[in-house]
Amino acid sequence: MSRCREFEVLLAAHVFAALEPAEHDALETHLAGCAECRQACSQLRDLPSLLDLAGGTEARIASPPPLLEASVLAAVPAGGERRRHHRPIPWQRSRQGTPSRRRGVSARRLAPALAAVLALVVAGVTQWPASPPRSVRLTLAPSPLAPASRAVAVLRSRPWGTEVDLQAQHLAPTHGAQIYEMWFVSPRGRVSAGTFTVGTQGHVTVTLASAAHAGQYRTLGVTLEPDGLNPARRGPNILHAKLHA
Amino acid sequence: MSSDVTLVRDLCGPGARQAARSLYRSYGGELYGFALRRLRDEGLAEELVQDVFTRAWRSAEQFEPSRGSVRTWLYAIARNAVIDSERRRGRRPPLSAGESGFEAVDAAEPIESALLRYQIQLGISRLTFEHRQVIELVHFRGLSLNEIAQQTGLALGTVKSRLYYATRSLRLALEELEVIR
Repeated sequence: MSRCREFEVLLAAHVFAALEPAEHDALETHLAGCAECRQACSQLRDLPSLLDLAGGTEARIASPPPLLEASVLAAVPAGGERRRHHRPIPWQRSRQGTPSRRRGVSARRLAPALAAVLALVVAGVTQWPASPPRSVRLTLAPSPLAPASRAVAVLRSRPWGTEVDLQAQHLAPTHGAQIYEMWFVSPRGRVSAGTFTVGTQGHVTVTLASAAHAGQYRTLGVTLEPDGLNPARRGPNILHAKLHA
Repeated sequence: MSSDVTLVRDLCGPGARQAARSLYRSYGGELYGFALRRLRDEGLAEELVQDVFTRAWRSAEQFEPSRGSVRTWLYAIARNAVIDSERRRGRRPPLSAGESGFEAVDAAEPIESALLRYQIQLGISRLTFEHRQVIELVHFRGLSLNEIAQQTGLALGTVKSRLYYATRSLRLALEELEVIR
């Protein structure tokens, strides 16, 4: 077994043809009589040709932008509901404006659905099946207090208000009673969408909820509240984005 | 790998978003890298990754573990999404390497070959610097073990064992990526 250990370490150099002649001959002799080492050698034999396909060891492997995760998850409902009614959200369309290719649906397959809709109309039913939640993606601009911060929010309209997926980077970590708070802001006032703290990494991914319906508000903002237990004290704006009706 | 299968199953139920998050964290990065390598456009690459996970969520019910792993399934979806994206881009040629800042890539290379090349490079990228270096010197520069020892200042025995462990690590990485079995 120790003899195998002595030769095992040479197997890699052997498949790369990098052994000196004397070591090569000794290894070949050993391999002729050792099935275990032949097996180990065969497991390495493909590597040189695979490396040739790679063309080198320095190829750059790109990393995705940190905010891509939020965009990907925005396309998946939290509860996986309404799978059949899902439609692409606006930013999933091609940048050239070409809609995503859809699977062909034959008139024959549509016939039962059309019949069901007609039946609802004939019966005088006025309430349509619930449509999927409308989603909007916003990039929040940083204030001068946090110029390096970056954030994206995905707003999902719900019957009870608005659900917000927030992913932010390079925020100042919270200390003591400090909290960040998200707001829907209109000329008449503001409604909280929830609070969160930020650790030393300065990154946060959080889902918030507000009774506000986004279409009735002009701005989405994040403030840094100096004292989370004292709502009378108001902190500065850190991030904001305009909302479009 | 069985946990990945569970995650795909979870895409069909109330834990869909958490399952998508876990799958994205396992595979999103490498799928983005492949998309960017192929499409050479960061915006298109981001769209493609979104498209892959949306398609995966929609078709999760049809995933059949006996036909392949979750990785194979996601890459098959990515392959189709890349083909669709390239068709949509139509005749407009991708930027050349100099214009885009990306590595030169043969745009006419069949996608299967490009995918294999990318996965091998991905496996190599998972090695330590020392392991990549010894493989570079022995395979791509054709140095003998003695020459590597002289060039790096390492003992000959260290070079031998480093090359051995580098190849074992590479094999493991390529097994994880399902390039070899």
